[in-house]
Amino acid sequence: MADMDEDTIPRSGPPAEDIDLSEETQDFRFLAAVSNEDAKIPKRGEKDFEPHATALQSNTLAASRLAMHNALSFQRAHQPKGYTTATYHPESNKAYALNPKGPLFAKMGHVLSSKDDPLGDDELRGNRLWLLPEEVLYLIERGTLDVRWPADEDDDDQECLPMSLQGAYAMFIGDEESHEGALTFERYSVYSGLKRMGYTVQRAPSWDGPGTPPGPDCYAPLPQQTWQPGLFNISHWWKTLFASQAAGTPEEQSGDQLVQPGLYRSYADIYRRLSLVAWRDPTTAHMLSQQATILADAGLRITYHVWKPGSQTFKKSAPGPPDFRIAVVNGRETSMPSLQQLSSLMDTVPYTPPKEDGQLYQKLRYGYKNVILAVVDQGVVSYLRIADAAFGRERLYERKAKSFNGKRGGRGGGRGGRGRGR
Amino acid sequence: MQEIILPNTGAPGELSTQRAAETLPKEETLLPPTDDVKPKRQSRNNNNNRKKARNFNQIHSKPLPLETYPLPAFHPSNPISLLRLCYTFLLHTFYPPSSHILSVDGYPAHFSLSTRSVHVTDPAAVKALWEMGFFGKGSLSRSEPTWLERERELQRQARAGGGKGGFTAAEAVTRQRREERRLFKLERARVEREGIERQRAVERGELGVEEVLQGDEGAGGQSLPTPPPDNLEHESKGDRGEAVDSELLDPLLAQAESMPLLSSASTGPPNNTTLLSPDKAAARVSIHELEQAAPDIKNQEHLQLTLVEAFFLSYALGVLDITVPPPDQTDTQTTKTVPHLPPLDLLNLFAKTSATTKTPPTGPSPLEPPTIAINSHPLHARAVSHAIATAPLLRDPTSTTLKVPFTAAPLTPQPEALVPQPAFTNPNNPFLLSYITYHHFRSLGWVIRPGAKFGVDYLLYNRGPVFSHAEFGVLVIPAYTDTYWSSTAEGRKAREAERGRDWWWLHCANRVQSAVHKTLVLCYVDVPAPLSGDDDSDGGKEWDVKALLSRYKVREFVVKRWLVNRSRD
Repeated sequence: MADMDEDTIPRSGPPAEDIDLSEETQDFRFLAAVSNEDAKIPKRGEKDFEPHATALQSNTLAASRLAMHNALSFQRAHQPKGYTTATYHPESNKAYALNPKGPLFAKMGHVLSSKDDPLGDDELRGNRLWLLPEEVLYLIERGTLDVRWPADEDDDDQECLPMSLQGAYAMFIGDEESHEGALTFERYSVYSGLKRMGYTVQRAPSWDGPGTPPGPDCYAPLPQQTWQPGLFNISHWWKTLFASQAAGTPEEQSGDQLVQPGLYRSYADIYRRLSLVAWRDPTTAHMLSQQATILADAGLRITYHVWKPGSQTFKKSAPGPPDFRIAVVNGRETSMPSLQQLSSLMDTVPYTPPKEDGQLYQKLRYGYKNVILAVVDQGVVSYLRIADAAFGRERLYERKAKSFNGKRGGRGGGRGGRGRGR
Repeated sequence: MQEIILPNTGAPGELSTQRAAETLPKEETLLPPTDDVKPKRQSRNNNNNRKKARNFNQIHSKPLPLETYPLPAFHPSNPISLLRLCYTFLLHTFYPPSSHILSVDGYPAHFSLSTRSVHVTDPAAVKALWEMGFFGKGSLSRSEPTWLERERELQRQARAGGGKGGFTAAEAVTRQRREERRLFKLERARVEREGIERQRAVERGELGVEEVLQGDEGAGGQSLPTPPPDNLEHESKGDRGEAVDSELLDPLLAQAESMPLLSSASTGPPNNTTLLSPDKAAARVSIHELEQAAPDIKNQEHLQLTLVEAFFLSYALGVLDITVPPPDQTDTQTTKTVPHLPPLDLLNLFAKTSATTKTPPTGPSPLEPPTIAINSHPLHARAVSHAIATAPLLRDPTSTTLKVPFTAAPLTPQPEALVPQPAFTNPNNPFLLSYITYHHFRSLGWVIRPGAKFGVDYLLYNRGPVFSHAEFGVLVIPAYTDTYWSSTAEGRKAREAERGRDWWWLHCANRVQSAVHKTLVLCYVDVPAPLSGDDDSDGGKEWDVKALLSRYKVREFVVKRWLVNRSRD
């Protein structure tokens, strides 16, 4: 039937890869049923859309509310086993911990070298782990870390004053401007969300500045020079013999219409004459040696480098290339990116072309360069993957010709040379 | 087509020819099915109630309304193929056929200012333009111009009084499917209501729990009715549509048959199901027509081409001949028409037509209540809350209300400026931007159609709407990278629309696309600076349309939602 798009509002809902269960409200009754033996995902409850005035419905609702209340009223305390203390360092707005234990610290924090360490090169420098503001906040929220204010001179007891959660937020997010830091609440929301999901998140070089200029991996590799065999010339001559003969050469064609009446052997020839609009080809942008450094627009820069939770290649000393690059955007204060912003952002991202023999739609959706925008709207984060697709490289008329060749046997001349046609 | 060699089982002459005729490829001829062809086919396939699916591969085999002449295939083992090849090659060399043979002077079309579109009424042209490239839309149909066939079908069914219809248009199938869905939803609501009622009765103590369980088992479990299957293949759709079509139309036709027996003034037999009333009314009307008028219907539908499609057909392909009524004439008078316009004038006309020409209102009249508006565009509710959230508060200690300055831009991107646009010399014209996108994707081989159905500017199809659903929805976004747009005042004014596109709008568009299994494509069109030509009277004649259009640049981005949960591995 004509027009398959009509009434294709699919009853099954959004496609499976777009369902994000974390957006739906959880029913805490099922949480209690989860035990350690069978680690299944707890069910979400059923949804009712209106009150029915049945006792069953109101009882169910009350039971769910009570379960949620019980789950949330659990008192969170520091465990004596994993207890870690850190000390706040006011000048650099960071905190340091002495030899912390635990799996979390394997991927967080840095040990600074002797010239970077603000406290100097004393005997504890190798054990001192410096934590960035967002890492400290995340660990405090989680309950792993206990941060203390630095000791004053007139305090003679060993225990310093503990930092409250409000104090931590006030210092690490609120006081960032005075320390020329760039951590905002939006960036922290993205960081903590990703860490909770298990990812490894680190600051990108363009965290608070233009960052490193794009290297050669941000551009397509230069085309290799290949030598064609001599037979190529014969097939070329054969092709021109059987080529389309239209009125005049394409350069002379102008005026009334793009496609002049004439003899065309295939629709591909007609489509080639229609090409008029210039499009940006990511495979032809090559790095020149004396190219000026491209500064990413201040509004849109890569903020975080993210590695997958099970990544084998990540080591704190040599992280390797990240799996994802995230640019955090404040959804309330900015509007949709302009072309300059997006193109300068894309210039700093490495060139990752799709597979040559992939399917058409997969290749277009994958794109030649991609970046993830995290749009934060008052704490609610939405991730959009923007890929630089080059539709101009996938010419449908050439693909159609390839598929028809199997059925019709193709033109004799166009195949090139003597010998058997395929 | 291969020769079919049949074993000689029965009578040699007739049976074998009948069998050969049966096994002919089941394609419809390119002519619309006429009455004398239909009954023969039906009598031959009496056992097979299935309506013959139209062979779209053959009908839509040409992607553009032009003709190509490929050389025949060369098989080295077959010497005759070499002779054929040489013969065709020499024929083409000495008597070259033209690609525009289907439309020697161009298909006739006329421009209509009131509808801001181009109308095509010639039936051969309508058929050619739809079948070869899916251009345009039938003005009385959903997409393909099928109004005439639907009317003829109604008449034929009314006359034949039942039996299988040969041609079931897409609109009829849609109607049946919508009715099925409506009935399914009613049924589901009824079942749920009964469940709730039973629950209430149990709690009131009227019904014991055992009785409820018995009732459930007795009814075979009041399970919710399964929804009608969501097939997207067109052959089975044709089947189902056909079967349901006959079910629902049979009671209608039974009533229609009895209509002439009763007096026409009566209300007719009582109608239980409301769904039959529109069909019944149509049948009633057509029966009355039958009794009075001749069966031949005048086609009241035309093919409506958007300005962008019309310009592509006329300028890029050269197959359309657009006649424009002079501005001092209304559309109804067609006595004098302007001869064939050169493409530059056509571009000028379309560009002027596409821009809005509303003059700004002078202000609300004293009798009307003041409305909230920014630049006389009415505000969306979301934009008001956005304005309140982002604007600084002005709190006057003496008053009890908050004053919020309305400085935020409205939510949805607003149309062009309210002053009349100059001609195509302003490259920021919406017609030019749309056309550049259209031409870009057409020249790559995509079938591109308007996408207002899904909230985007264009939809991209691989081969056409009849073959598969659109994979991409394209949004056209102008980009102003040239220094002209950031330095001059007019440039800054033109860029104001950029602020109107905010993240909520993008997320809305993305959600809609993912719900209908499409991918959102942002097509940024880089607008060049206006040409600084001399403004003399015939300055336009020196410009070349091709040069004008080549100044634009296009860059596409594919937007997809990234899910944190699903990208962990």
